[in-house]
Amino acid sequence: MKKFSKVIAMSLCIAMMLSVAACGAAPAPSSSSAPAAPSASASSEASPAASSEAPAPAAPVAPIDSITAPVSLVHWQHTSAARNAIVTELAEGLMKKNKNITITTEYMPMGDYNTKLLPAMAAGTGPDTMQIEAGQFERFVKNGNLQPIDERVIPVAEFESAFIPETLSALKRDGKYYGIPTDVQTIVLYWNKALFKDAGLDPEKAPNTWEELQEYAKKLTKYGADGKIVQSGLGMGGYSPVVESFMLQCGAKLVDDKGKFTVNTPEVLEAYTFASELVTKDKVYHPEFMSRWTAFRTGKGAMVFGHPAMLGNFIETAPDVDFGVALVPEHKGNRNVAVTSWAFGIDKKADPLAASVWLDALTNEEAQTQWAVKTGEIPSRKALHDSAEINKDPRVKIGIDSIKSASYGKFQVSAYGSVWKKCWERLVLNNEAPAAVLADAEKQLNAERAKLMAD
Amino acid sequence: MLSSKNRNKLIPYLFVGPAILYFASVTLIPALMALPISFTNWSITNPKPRFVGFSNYQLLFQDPMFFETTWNTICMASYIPLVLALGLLLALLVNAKSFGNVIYRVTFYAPVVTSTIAAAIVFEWLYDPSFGLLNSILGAFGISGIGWVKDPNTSLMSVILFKLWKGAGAIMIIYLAGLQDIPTELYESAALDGASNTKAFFRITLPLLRPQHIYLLMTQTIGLFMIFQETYILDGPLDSTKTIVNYIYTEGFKNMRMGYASAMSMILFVLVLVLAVAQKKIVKLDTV
Repeated sequence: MKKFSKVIAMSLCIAMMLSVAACGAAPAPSSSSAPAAPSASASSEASPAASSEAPAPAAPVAPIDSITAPVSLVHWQHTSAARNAIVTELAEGLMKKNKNITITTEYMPMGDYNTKLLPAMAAGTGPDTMQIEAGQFERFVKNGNLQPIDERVIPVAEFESAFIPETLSALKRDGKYYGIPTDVQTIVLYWNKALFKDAGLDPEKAPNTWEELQEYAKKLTKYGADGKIVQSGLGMGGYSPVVESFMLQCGAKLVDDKGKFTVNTPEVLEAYTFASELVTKDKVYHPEFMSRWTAFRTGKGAMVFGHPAMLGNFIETAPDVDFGVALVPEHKGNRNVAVTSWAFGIDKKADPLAASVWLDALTNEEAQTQWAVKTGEIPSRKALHDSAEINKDPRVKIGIDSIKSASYGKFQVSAYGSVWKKCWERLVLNNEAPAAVLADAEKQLNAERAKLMAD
Repeated sequence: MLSSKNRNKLIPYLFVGPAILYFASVTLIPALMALPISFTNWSITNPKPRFVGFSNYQLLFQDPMFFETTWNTICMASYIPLVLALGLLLALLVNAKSFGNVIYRVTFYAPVVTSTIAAAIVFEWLYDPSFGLLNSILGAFGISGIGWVKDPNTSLMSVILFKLWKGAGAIMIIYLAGLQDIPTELYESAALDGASNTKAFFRITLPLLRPQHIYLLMTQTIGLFMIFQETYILDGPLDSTKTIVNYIYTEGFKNMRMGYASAMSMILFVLVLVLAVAQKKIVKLDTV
């Protein structure tokens, strides 16, 4: 009996030691997995060049020289290697221009960002300037947490003429703008050229229509002996801006004149059915297969929809994958995609002039050129869309072109995103009928909207 | 000037004072604050919350997600007998006074002191259906892998397995302390009377570990209703691993509905209180 106990104890001991050892070895893969999703992170080696080009704030109105007393600003944003480098360099550039300004930049993981920002702002210990999701802006402004951008730095007229209109709609209140748009994102298609070649497809030609997308995805999917996917033709994770783009291409309006969600419509049903059947019927992807990003990076995913800013990320994280970037396939001549964005805002307690000067330095044409070239991010200033420097890289140009047929994303609030996530899972894991899921989605979205309006 | 007698009376309070202050400021006061907040529409960013009466509570009882996450939490109760059994088994195995037992004890206890988040992230990789270690091992034996956390049918089980790995060591230590308090004479007498090992275990060991059973049952039940980190990382589809505390967190910090989240916290508090009182009655704690 005692001997037997010892044998069991020994085996359990070894099992536990192995598990603990695994814990020690794991940080690297884990950190790359968690925040993987939609953020650009092009190589940080590009940053040294940027420091010598640190921009001046928009020259005509920026009263940088009128800041004659010392001002300290703390700036927060969610982390991304390439972006962090640019922001830090821009801050250093501004501090060199005016020694009275001190800027401390702090970056935090996307997953923790909102949960740190909100309580800090409520407690009055938050940053002076920060990045906020466009969908959250209205609430912050209504509750008096933010102050408007100083008109001496960016006049209202400049906002309306210079920036993409879709990125401004959530930022205006009582004739004033409370944020400067940044992190503008549409949806584009990334494809792996080598896998295309293996499947007998033209490696330089992405699918141009829904029909081609479906056909290519099926051809590119491979299954193992047990029938499980070993190579996914198209990573369809149900990410709401992707599914919303399908809906827009079917002509869906998504909201009525009063702002109420109307997603239980034939147009949305057509899009939702097509998108979900790629998984349930055509079996080009399965949620139990690796994440669509991991699949693409490791050459196990042939196509994936993503934000243009994923370009910089893929260059850095998938150096061995030869990939192309294309506009999303069209449906009935429509290539519309959803635009999502963030904006830089100013906390109510900050020095408005200095904060506005700093945010302008972060978002003026010179700064946004850096953002675009180094991260693939779409500039929020329209003038840059024709910039030869930015359009030099054809893959960056695709991102810029995608904004030309884009609509303001209607689901840029985390609660709406959660509703769509669960609805998608019901479709692809429970095989529920899209019509029934959409009926529930409409109810849930409007219930969430009602809660937001009541606050 | 305090007399020597009074000074002696004061000294213990000085020792426990900092701990009480810390507990009050980061636990007690915030917990009490949740009650008034639950009657408002406070959203963190809103500096002037409005009194909304019982509407958060009314909303809560119409919210299917509240019931779904409460049910998920209750389903995790199957973890309690499993972890108690595993902890007791480990304690019995390492109780023998033989060379090497210290190493076993340290090894079994190591997961307890490992960061839950870090360990859960590792398990997320071990569980991965495509390239995870567990499915690779199953595959080596010709067994088709399962979806683990990514399958709503097995996600809760995956979380429970992780919790067993993480929590059994702590249970083992408590039981081990109890086992070492049992006089060896009792086993010797039983052996003389012809009792088998099994009989001795059921007639001597288990009954004499009663205080440990009671303590562990109560703390594990209360702990069950506070599961958060494990399910935050091992997040199954269709909210299959979302517990009530995860939902409170989502509503409070992601959706910025502190009033509603506080109302849920109050209900959770009542639920735990009722369970604790019921347990106390059932096991007749007064005899311990």
